[in-house]
Amino acid sequence: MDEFVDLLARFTRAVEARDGAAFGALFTDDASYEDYVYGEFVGPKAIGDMLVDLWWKEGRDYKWTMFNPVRLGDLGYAESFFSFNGASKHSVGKHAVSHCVSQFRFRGGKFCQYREWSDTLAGFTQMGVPGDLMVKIGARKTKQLLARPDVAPHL
Amino acid sequence: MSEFTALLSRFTATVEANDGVAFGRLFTDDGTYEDHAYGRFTGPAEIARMVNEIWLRDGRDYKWDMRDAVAEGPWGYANFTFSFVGATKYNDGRRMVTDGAARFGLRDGKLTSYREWMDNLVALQQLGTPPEVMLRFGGKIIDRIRAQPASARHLKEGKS
Repeated sequence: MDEFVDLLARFTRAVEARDGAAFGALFTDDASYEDYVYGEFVGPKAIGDMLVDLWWKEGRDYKWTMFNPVRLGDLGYAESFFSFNGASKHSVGKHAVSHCVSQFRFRGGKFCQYREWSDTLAGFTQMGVPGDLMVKIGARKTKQLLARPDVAPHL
Repeated sequence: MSEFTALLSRFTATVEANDGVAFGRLFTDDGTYEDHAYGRFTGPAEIARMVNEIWLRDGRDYKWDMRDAVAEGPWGYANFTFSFVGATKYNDGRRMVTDGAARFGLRDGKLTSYREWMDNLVALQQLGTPPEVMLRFGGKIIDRIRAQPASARHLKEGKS
């Protein structure tokens, strides 16, 4: 568990410092990072670039606090609060706080997979995204969700 | 099957069977269930009422699949796929499907707490919720996030 706690500390420090290299270095060469807004990124370079080029294009002053970590073997989770100041045309001057859960898979002391669950409705509302645009985004994300194989029994 | 995965099996089976009483019994006397839509319920009787009087009023044919469960000490987590057929004025019997993750508080084989994370935008869009109602709902979620002491560091805008 100490190793997991240490990795989480390095994870959040890298994000808050906009350090794409340090962030990417936490992941295996074939690691998958599924960002809830931007989608999937594979490998340390793409994951580091996601942080530097995408996140920090849309926002500033990222803060991430992880807590209540649990790890068993190659699978772990942590709860977190995540916040940033908006920098896009809808969000400049606005501040968003999210409450999230992250899932991590491990291999060889690094992360080989990252998934997260958060509420985009709360995030977009704080960022001033218009309601009709939210409906469109919701429809797109629904389509992506319904295409997942583990959803099939529910259709 | 571990004790935690056995507990999760009973958790989902009682919901799918519309058995609020059996569901409530999975919780300690002071156990809390924080529902993403309806708020917090405390104790087996209130949690049973949440299922029997609220969930079953607003939906039917609930399905819940838990996976990737881990537990250690006082906490467990799992992620899930959850669906139901809506029965409110904004939808006409459409099935809503969402995925999410949950954190379980654990003590002596029972649940001391349940909290979930899922994308309300995806859920409400499937249920035909008008944009203005979505925004109001988003506002309530934001209030809940900001009211939590652990979020204090994140409420101050700008650099820390």
